[in-house]
Amino acid sequence: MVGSVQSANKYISDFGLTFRDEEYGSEVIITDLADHPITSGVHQLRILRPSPVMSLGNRTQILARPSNARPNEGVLGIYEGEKGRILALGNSLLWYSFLDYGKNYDNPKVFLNSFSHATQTGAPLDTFFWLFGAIIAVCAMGFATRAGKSTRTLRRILMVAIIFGLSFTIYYPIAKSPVYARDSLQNAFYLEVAIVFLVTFLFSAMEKGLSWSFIFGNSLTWGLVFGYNFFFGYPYWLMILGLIGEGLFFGFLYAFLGAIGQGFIGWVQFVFPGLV
Amino acid sequence: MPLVSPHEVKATPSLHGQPPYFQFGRVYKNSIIEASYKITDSQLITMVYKPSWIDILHQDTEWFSFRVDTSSVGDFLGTIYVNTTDGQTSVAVSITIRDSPQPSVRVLIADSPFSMWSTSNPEDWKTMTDIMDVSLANVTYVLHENGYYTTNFPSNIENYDIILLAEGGIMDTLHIAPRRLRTT
Repeated sequence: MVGSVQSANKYISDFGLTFRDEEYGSEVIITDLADHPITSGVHQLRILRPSPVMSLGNRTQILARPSNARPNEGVLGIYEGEKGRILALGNSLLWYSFLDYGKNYDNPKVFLNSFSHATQTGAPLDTFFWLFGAIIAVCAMGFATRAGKSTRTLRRILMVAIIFGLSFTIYYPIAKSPVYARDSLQNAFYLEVAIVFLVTFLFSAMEKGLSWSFIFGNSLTWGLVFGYNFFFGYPYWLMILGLIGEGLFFGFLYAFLGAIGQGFIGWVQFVFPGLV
Repeated sequence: MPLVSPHEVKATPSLHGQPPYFQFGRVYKNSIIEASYKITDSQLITMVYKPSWIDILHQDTEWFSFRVDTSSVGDFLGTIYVNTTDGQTSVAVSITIRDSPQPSVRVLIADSPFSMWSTSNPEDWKTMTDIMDVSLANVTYVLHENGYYTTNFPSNIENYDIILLAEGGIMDTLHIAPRRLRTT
């Protein structure tokens, strides 16, 4: 379309990318691909009449280059930085000239990877881990305070932590899957917070030896997990897998923080006898 | 990497217009799906019939545009009939609307590839619609006609994970919301 290159440049020039109103050729096969999540598993692209996109900025990268391209240019460029993320594909009619024309090559994979990459900003996940870590640290310190008075209680805590460890994750890879993208990640966070409170409740129950409380809390936790899955239409196996893996991670984290907490309390008891 | 959608509703071709039929594939409930159809070698006189789940956006002597009502889940297959100066002609439309599983990504495509100038072979769309299907993309196809967006370009662009601007989309959004798009 006449003027589309100039118009596109009004968008991407602020990001250090620029289209040039030329073509690399009619049918262009590309095998020179940069290492990036968007080109993961991509070995060969076939594009109809692609145009050059040039990388001129610090946070830009050329992801796919024809063999006759200059060093700082190619058909696919990306900016990723504080302004966000923009992907520039030098091709008109992307649904035909790129997707359908290259359907027997790895072109569709570029789109699928882009979709996954766009929903993995990292920020929600990092926030999730920091928040969750803080909650667990507080819980662990609290329980360690009690545990400092009884090695039996400590054993219970460690045992229950490991058991409930099984209610938590291989969270990271699961969270990176498309099924767990953005909205569902937020929902998963709410669910996990609820589980933390339930675990807290169960710890208290164990402290008092209330087995019915344990059963009730356990049932409630799993009811919540399955209800969540049912409501959002996720496969059960995915959540179960996630919870088991997460458990391994957080179980050990609980135990580790608990041990540190116990050591701290022991030190406080030694320095300030009778305070704790 | 060949992609095959496991679920597809088939439409049959029209002989008097372009594109010959519309096959939108599988989309999500409440998404915006817009398209346009060109009458070839004659002029449109009146719209005779359209399925209840299709809303006509604009009608001219040579073309019309429409939007699919995606408020209900299910398989939809129907035909739009129009009277032209050469008699009656029709175009078939098929779409599957779903609400589960939860979409993994929200995609806005402007300009809609389902436009009257796009192709004489709707199978060309299949790779794209299959990608949207298998990636669980909640995709919106916004139509651009004669320099304006029939839907008023979505105001809630912050709600999309990906905004794909094709030629018409690039040209038109420049005067609609370039700064907002740049920072979304």
